[in-house]
Amino acid sequence: MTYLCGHSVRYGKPSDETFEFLGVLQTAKYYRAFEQARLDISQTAAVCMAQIRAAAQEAGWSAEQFHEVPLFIGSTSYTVADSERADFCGEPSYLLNDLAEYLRREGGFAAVHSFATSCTSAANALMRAHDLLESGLAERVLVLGVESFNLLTLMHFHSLGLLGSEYRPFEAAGLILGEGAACLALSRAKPSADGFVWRLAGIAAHTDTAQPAESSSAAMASVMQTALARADVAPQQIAEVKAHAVGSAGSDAAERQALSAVFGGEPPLACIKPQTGHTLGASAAVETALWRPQAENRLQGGLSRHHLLANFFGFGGNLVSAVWEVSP
Amino acid sequence: MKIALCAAACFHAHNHRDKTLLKAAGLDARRMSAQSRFALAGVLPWRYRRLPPETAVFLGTDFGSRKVFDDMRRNMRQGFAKPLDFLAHLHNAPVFHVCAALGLSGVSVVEAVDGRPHNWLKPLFQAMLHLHAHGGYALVGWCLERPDADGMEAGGGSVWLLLSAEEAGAAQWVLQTAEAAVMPSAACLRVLPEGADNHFVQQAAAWFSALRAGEVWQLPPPLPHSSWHLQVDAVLPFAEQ
Repeated sequence: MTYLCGHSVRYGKPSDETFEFLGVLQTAKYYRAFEQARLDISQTAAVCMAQIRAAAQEAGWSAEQFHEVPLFIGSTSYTVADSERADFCGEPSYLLNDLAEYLRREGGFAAVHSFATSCTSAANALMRAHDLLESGLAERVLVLGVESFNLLTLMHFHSLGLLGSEYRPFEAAGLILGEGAACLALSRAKPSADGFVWRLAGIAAHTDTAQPAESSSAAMASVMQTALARADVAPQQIAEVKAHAVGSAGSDAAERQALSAVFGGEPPLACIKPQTGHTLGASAAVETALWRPQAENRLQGGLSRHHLLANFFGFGGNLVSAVWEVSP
Repeated sequence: MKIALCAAACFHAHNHRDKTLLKAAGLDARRMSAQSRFALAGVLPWRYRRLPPETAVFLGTDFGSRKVFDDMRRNMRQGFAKPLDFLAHLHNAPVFHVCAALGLSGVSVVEAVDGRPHNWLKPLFQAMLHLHAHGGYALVGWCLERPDADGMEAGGGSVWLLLSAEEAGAAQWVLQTAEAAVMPSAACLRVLPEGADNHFVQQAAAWFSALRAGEVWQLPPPLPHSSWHLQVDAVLPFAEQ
């Protein structure tokens, strides 16, 4: 069993970023969450620690306890912002495991795992955490998503022609990137606190090899169906779908088609990215943390069904769907 | 937890052999990073053996492609960016290409590793957890792209293991956690040596050689307060290129 016992989230507000591209000054919308233009590794770790403490506190775990808990991180940027800072004044250095080692050394964590599967990084961290809890080798796991501004990512999304100026999911308006951090505190034990109980009933991942930048509707439908089957839940039992709804024309059209194939029409949808921007590898943690209270409000309003489905899709054909059972 | 180790493969990169091997296997690698080519060259022994489509892929690496990243950064400083560079440098590009070449559609995960004993075996641990939860097969690999001394040609390679939950009952090569394992005698244990940072493929390659020689290694614990070990009783099908 995997229960969501606590969460924390920090996300940004839209601002304008300017950069030169092919000799022309460009302005792109970007959701800024942090004060610094670019986080160095210690600032990134501080952001992570703040989210971990908040999620652990909500879960009722003491500081002594949460340092013993395996920490699973999902990010696309990791410490590339630090590398860009260094780029201005000397030799850059940046390895995927730097943040994990920093948190292990300075934060006192016993085991830190870093996953890098593009925009599904935190979603894969969640699936790995679920498998670990199911194995019985750990009683608790922390899933952390973190993403911070770096020009490398913004310029390359610009070069791909994917950016827009306003977030309007399923309207082919383009996407807006964002920075943010969030932590999910997961446990094998059912939380004792009052309120809704979130249990991860099923989660599935799929790799679509048709092309790296855009997945097919058939693959998206397949991963949703696998997650539903693992949860032993029929599509009719789903109260709401947290859509990936990234904003690009092809991906949104494929997701809409996949939803129609699985649900026989369009189910009630929740789209979080207009609030946060696309926080890339952190998005599964950021969006789950924000979705949780919003979905609970709607469930309190009288929804009779108590299962929710969340989609997280990414480059490299990486697709993850999760089914949550939410009980009063 | 009891998992069978079914086969292993290893690829050492030098003299552009990766491009030759991939071309001979009918794979178009022109837009791939060296990192992706090295990962792909390592799994070629399974290209025609039809692994089950749900076979999971877990890859450990320290970075994307150093060469592509350096190109991207140089372009940025000159005020432009190339979309194909970005797609080539995706951290999960190597597992995407491995899945495409082997006809796989299951889980594909990239995990950050370095040469420290508590880090480099992480993908193996994740693959074992996956097999415990979902059964079936999993490829677990380590891939490294490093510029050669002259900084021109990328060197490195990849090491891959095929694991199975299906064949654990009959297999003679078995990975076990300590909870289920009968510990081998001290005489046949070798403590995993401490590796230099980021030389995780060397660690994996040394392990590969030890497996081939029939040695049994004590592995570092994947989590605090736990342990596991590898039990090896027979000769595996090995492929080394």
